[in-house]
Amino acid sequence: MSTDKLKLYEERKTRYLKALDCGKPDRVPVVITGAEFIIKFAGFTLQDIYYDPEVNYFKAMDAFLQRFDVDAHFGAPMLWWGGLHDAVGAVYLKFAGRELDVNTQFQYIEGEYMLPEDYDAFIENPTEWILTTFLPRIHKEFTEPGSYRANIALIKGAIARAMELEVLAQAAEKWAKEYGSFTAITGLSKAPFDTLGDTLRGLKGIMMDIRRIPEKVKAAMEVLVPHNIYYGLATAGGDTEFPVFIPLHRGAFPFLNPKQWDEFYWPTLKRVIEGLWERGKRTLFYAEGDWTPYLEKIAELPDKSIVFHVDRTDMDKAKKILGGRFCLKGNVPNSLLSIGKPEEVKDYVKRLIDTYAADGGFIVDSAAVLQADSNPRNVEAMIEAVYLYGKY
Amino acid sequence: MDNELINAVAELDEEKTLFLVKERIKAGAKPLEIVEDCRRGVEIVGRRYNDGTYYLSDLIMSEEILRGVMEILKPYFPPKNPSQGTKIIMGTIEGDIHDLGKNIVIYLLQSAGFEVIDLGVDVEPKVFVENIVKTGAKIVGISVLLTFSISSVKKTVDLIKKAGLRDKVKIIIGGYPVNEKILEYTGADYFENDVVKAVELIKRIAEGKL
Repeated sequence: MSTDKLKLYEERKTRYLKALDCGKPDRVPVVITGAEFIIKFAGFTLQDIYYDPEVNYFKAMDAFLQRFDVDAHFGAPMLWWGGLHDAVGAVYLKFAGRELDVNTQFQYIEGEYMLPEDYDAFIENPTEWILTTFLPRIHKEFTEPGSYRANIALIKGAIARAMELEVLAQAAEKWAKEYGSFTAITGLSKAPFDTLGDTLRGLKGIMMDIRRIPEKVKAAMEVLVPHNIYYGLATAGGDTEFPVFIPLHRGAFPFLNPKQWDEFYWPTLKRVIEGLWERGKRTLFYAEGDWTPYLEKIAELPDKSIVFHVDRTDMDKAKKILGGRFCLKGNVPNSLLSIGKPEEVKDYVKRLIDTYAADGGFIVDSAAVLQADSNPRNVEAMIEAVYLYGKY
Repeated sequence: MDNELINAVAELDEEKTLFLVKERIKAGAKPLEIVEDCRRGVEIVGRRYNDGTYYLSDLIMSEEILRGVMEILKPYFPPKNPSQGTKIIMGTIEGDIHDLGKNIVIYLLQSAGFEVIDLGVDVEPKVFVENIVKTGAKIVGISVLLTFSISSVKKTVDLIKKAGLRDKVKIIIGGYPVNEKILEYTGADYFENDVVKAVELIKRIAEGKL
């Protein structure tokens, strides 16, 4: 690594880690959750990104990092490699250039891929159930588990995943060496309620289950607690310096009523976060939507165990209830970044910093993952404003 | 007896609701009367959602309970929705496949007696226009979650204008990202993020109060 890039890397890392730890670095860090914005900005189609890891991890990121001086980013624009999912015949995803127009976002086909009568088998042995029942349902190539075709598909899928991780590792090295830049997170996990309510039972399924078969829902989530702790650590390759990304879904207001939230959403999520923290791993609590009614509960977590990402949560209340004990991150509105003017973006960021960042533990980021419609000049204005007004 | 069914729906007691419906059918009650009581129960659910007592999970549950009721009642009456004469077109804009909010609004509108033409998800602008022409609907609801798709909402409004239909319909946009600024940008008439408020808004429009 050239000395100046190494120095930049170290500066940014120190700044970022200090803020995560609720401290006051030399300046407020700015992070960008790029996604589709990066693709459009770099001039590629979504099909290029989904189907060519070279474009996703290298070409698009080069264009992005050359232009935007962020302290940390969220890695390659896309988590999904179409080739991997095609190799195993995924039926729950649709990709640009295959089922969809070359520039249409990937789509997840919501369904009840786990049925109410599957709970017992899942609770008894989740891995076995996933391998023998769930995977065959959502992948054409696994329709007959144990068959020649299914075995080949398993091998193909595993090789594809290993190839992708290898590309990611090479890319991360390049981002550090050439741009002094790094990914803000390592590893991924979920709230047990979301594991069950996203891909397995689906939104409607899980909402019915908590009324019809609440005890089964609880037993299934119980099984998921150690799994989700392990998964968070394993996908981070054991790293404990950076936070693990937990995108939170069904716990946002107003999905669950407070009683349901207290009873179903929170206890197991809390234990996953505490379990990770006991092992030295902090959580990026990516609270998409509005989490204002639940802030008091979230404050029960051990000091510094999460970074609380603010999307539509009331920032005043988040600061009052969580500030000082947890780093806060957010919340430049995406609509402002897409149809606002650069001056408006700057004003917003200035106000954000002036009001909430004075005592440290604050990171500027977009409220939600950036879409293709974000205006590059606005994204630039967001970064400029941090450089301009964010010095401590 | 009537109140018992209304209450069971309002309390989201699925088992009791379905039991009461079967009992009343046995006792010779008219299916439409049963539907009317369920509708009143759903109205209470909507009010409770509005005042913050109920949440989305509760709305989804009431939808499911009503679906169960209709299944029991289906054989007993020709399925014809009582219409207030107001047709409403609803759809999720092109590029977007999120339909939770849209489906709940449709369900609440149907419970209130409206005739809703559901265009589904990922609806192209020209399909909205074609359906306005075909059905003569006076109200169009466009649902959008991804900010990415907001430009298609604008395209739809422009296309409606171009077809000479702009003053014949009221256009409401709904969904997570919509606000004053996006309303202005798209050129729609109203916006709403809250499903129950959206239904109230549509009722006021239908009654000519807006």
